[in-house]
Amino acid sequence: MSERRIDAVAKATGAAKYTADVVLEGMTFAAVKRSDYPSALIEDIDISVAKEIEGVLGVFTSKDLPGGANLYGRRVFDVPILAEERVRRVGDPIAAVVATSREIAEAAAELIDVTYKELPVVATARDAIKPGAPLIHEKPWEYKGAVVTPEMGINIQSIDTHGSREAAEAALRGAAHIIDETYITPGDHQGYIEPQACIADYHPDGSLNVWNTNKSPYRLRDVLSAVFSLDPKKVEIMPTVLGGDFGGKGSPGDAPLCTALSILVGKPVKMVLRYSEDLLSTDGRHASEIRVRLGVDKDGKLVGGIFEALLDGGSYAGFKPVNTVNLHGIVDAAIAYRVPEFFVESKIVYTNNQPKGHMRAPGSPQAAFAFESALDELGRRSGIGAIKIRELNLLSNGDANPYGTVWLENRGKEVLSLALSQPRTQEAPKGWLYGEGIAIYARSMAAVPKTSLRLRKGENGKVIAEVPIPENGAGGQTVVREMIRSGLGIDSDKIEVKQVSTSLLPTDAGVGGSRVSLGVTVAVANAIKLWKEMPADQELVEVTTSEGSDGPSGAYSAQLARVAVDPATGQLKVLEIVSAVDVAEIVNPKAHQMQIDGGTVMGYGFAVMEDLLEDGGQPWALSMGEFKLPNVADIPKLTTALLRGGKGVGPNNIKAVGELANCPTGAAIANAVEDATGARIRKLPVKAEAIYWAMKEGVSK
Amino acid sequence: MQSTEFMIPTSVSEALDNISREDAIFLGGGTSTALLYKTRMIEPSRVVWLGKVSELKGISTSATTVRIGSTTTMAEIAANREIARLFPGVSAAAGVIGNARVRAMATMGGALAHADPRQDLPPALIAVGATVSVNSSSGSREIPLKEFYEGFLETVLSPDELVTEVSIPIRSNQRSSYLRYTPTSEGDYPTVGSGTSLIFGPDGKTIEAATAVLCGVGTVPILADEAARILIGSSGDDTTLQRAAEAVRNAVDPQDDERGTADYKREMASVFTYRSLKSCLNS
Repeated sequence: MSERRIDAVAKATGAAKYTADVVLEGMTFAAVKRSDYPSALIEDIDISVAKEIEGVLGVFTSKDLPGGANLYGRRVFDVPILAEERVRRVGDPIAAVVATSREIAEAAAELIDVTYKELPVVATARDAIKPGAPLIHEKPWEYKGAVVTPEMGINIQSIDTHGSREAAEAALRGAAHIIDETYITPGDHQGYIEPQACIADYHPDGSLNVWNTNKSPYRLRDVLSAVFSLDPKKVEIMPTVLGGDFGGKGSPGDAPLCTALSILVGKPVKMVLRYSEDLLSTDGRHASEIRVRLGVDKDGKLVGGIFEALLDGGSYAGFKPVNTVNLHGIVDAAIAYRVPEFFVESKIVYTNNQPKGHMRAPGSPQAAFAFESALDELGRRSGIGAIKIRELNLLSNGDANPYGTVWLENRGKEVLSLALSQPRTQEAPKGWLYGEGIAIYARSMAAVPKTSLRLRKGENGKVIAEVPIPENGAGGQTVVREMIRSGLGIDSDKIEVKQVSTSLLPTDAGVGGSRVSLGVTVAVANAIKLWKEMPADQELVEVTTSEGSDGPSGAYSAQLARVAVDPATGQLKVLEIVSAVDVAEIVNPKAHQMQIDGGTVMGYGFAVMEDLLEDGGQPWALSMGEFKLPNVADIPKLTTALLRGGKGVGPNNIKAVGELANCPTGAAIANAVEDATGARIRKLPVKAEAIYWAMKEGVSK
Repeated sequence: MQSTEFMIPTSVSEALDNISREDAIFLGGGTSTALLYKTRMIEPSRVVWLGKVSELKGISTSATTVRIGSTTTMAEIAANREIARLFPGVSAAAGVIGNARVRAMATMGGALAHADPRQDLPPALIAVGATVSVNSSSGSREIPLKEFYEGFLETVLSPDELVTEVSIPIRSNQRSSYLRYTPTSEGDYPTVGSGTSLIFGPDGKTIEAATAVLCGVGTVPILADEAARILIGSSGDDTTLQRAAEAVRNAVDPQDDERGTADYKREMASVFTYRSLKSCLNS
């Protein structure tokens, strides 16, 4: 049975209070003067006109920042709150206005006059690593948290590798068939509905309250404490409702700037981005260029592979949260297959584009597009067949993946066969070409589900669950209620789940990494155990968890794209996307299905539509009219087939689903296009025009 | 901070009185105005909303003419049975613009005055010989829609002129069509749109007059005169249609952008003119 989502009514009726809805007494409003150039020295900032505008409380540049604190980041502190001597991207904040209204702040910001001296622009990742390329950061290894060293080369944010290049090359030399192709994906944006917003309210006693469009409140608290040398106990991240996230709301956003401004003006400061600003100045998905070499023996068994990814990290590395400052989805590219000698290198570089961060399954959509396209090509070119090559090489139970890990079970072959067995229901329009393409994705459930939770007695027999996580739309809080309902055997209306501010619970890792349901089920199960043993006069129980996995585990998905192509124009219609998904028990069937449908639509957008149009250091898609996301009329028929009976993890025997459906879609569609037309498209988004010219030229090997 | 006056006239003459100020603008449904506002292309000190001027609204049909008031919405045009019967291209164009929310608000007058060369409605209307009626406090005039556009976002209108209606002559033996090509998203501007009309002679077979107009492939709607000349005198046989469609390549003047390279748009202009003509013949 599916219980209604906790946030459904409030969000549908407008009662939900988002960050932009929060009003504080004496609140002021900030707006930012942003760089017009991708790369330039700042010669002068003239704020004289702006600061005289009636209603302006102050105009601030980097020189004014409290305590000289300027750099911040999620891991690497290389992002300036306000630009100092230079700007590194269009949209870099240069000066900030605080005023009595948003309109006045925005009008005054436009009157700030910046004199620039333009510098050469590094517009692509490929340009960034050319010998003699301009340096985006002079000494990036000196930043706090940096993982880069001077020996790695110029403009490097991080390099992550796995395996031996020499061994992989040797294996490829012995292969009966090899493929060697390069695949390209563009910069992308998460496309959440709610633009980023923040309110910081600093008090003279050194305490700070922050409302922010942020899904990782404890990480945000730690970043703000570190940047402004504040006592973490006095930094309170307040509960908020999020209007979508998809990875984009893990960053500090404008909290460092608003905090600095609140300290400076002594009042609460609010800043809400216009959507065009959000497209310009947040951190989306890395553009990628991935060269894939794969080889099979005469029987079709993979013998080796080399996977070299060059990723455009943009102007700052500070939006990547993990220790490697890299994207594990890239390194994990071959995780579903037996590849005896697999070498992968993920190189992320600085450019003058927008900084990039995390977006739903960081690195995986790019990696799956490249790997699953290359494998498909190898299957077709070698005569083995696109499906057969997968059947021959997907892991079986007990097999170690290329990273040496043996999962509890491997059900790649099963999801593949389940996807292929779904009957075709959609016909191609008359005169159009028809094709099918398959792609597989597997994801480790290794993320540590660190969280905490408190159950408290409410009035009239109510149980109040206090949680550290905001509801980002994926349904984490609803899972909490489901668990309590089934664990205590009480009705949903007797359960209240509410996010509390950061000082009121010990810890949380944030909403992400496909770990929320696992963390929550472990925490609730532990809490319920304590609750049942609780003496009658006790009012509450509190738990903190930091484990919960029953061994290395993962989940698989297979997508089958059924497409039609108009031979006269190249127009692509994706008729249907079948998603076969590896599941164990399902906590909330409706929410589970929404993750698959929503993920598939997101994968479809990445495959055929979305592109920030970064060109020459300028993103050109700065409105939702130009940055196209799939709308209802665009979405193909979505079919789901669940492969039940899997071995899950945690007390509820579950497998994560949130990042399974958006990763294989790009390759499934590109593979289907070749099936239909003979044309191989190696660049996303797949555009009608590219198919048209490729068909004309008969491009296919 | 500049404040904006919002005026709500109830008659055309009152609306015209209100527009005398230099930076005043007329507001229909707001779908074009909002775009221009957001990009700061306009910052009017006065907005004259036409929503309460009843004489500007509605569709009327006589024996010779269909008149569409300037604040008639795209949804209303698309839903009108007479327009669908007489001018299926106009009906089709009004029915595909933007999305249902946009069509419920966007007015014909606003769409025409916006003069974005990617708009669907102008080629469909030009193809069937539409004329724009314009009023100002100093008088009125009629402008053939094909002479209405001067450049990207530019028309022959002066700032104090108001589009009051569009009239379309009803001709016997006319068939028309509009097709758009939006390969990326249904909600996108077209890569190319093709409005065509054919008028047949007394025998019902010979094409006596033809018009082919395209959007998305120039700074204004493009009339493909050579294509029309090729069609006249023929019966619309496939070879002639292909020759006409071929001629469109030289008429258009597209630019590279994210909706296609100029080369591709030229090819698609030809393909969709052929298909639009075919659709006329099959209607």
